[in-house]
Amino acid sequence: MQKILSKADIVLILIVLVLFGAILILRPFAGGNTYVEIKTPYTSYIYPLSENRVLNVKGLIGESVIEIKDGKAFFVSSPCPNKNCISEGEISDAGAFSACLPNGISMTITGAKEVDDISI
Amino acid sequence: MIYQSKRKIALFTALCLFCAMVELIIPKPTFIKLGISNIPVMLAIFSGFSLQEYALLVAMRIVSQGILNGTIASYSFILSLTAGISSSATMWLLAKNKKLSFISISIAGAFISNCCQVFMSSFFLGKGVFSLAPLIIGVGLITSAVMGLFCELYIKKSKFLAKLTDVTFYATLGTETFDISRNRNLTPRVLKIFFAATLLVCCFFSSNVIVTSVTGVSLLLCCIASGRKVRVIPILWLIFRTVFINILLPSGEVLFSVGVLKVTHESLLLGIRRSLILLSSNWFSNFIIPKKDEVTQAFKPGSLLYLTFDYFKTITENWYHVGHGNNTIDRVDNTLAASVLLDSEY
Repeated sequence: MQKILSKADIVLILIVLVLFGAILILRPFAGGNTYVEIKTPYTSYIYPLSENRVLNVKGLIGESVIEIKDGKAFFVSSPCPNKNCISEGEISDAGAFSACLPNGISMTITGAKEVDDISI
Repeated sequence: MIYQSKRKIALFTALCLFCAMVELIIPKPTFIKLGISNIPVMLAIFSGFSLQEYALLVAMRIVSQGILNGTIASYSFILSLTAGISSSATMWLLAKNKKLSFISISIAGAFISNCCQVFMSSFFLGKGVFSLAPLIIGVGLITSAVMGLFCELYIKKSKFLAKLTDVTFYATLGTETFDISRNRNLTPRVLKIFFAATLLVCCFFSSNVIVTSVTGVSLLLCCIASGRKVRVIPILWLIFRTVFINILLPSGEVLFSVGVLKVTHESLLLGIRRSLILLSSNWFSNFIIPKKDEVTQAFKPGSLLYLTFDYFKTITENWYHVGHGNNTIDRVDNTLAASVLLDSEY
């Protein structure tokens, strides 16, 4: 069989493969998704940090209010006596942790790893 | 337009339709698209099509496929429009470089078109589809290489194509009897479309899952009542796919986990809602578009769409008539020769 692919072919195929590789590595549109995982004694929640919202979460001694705003998550109010959770302030980086221990509610920032590592 | 070029376009469009049918018959996992119907488009570039004829072929192919599958008024038509235009434009531009073979042109075309399609479908299915992009684009690279190789072999061996470039068509098909008794009464159809469109709008804009479900199911029933075949597996597949893509971006209370994948309340609902909307738009389209056997009667005799569907019918009949030859290339060649009479003897 004669040569099927010319030099120009090989160059074009290489360009496509490089672009494909770039998509694999860079993931231009997937965006660094970070999430906040909220754990309560009864259930758990997970929300993207990119969407602003206010959550009422039921804990051991009452309802805590958590707000997600501009990529940051923080306690707005909590029925605990010392209000440590509110003074802890905003968390935004992956791995950051905040909790209201009297109410049994904790939240952690997680990266997009769970999503990215799925292969089918 | 010259009659000859009209016939040529209609023939190649009909070939695309035929290839799309062959693609449906070949057993394969549902998420893999071979893109066989890109072959006639690729061959057209090398069969002396002018840019104008080529553009018309691409448009005709997308529209006639939409009509035949009944998807012309649904979201998937926008996807096939995106894919069709982007891949055809890429291939046309690349083919200007005479050193390139079908294989690399096909690969590049598939790459561009899959990228565009992934980007476009993120609006319908949700951003989670980007997580699947490497899989979709990767599979596309492999299948397109195979398609390109087939074209390369076919254009070298085909006697039919070699003649097509410099020979004129003359009066051809036996089935081409102009049916004048067309149904011109449009009122029932307009009422039908109005009714279905109302349901679709309710389905689309309602934030209530129950309203979305009820209107969706009504459209499905309309579809069944009008005699359309409704296949269950594609429906289940679309629901599964859409729900899965949405679950990839978790939001809300965690209901349960499958391995590392957390299934969340809001994502699940969003996935179900989106898949219902997509299905409803399919059913809406199926309902308002005339069925396959009525399709030729719906167009003006002698028009491009009429010719296309006529050729499609003839090619399909001849394909089975010609039977299994020595190899695929011969069979394709014989089918085409039987469908079209050329000026010089074949």
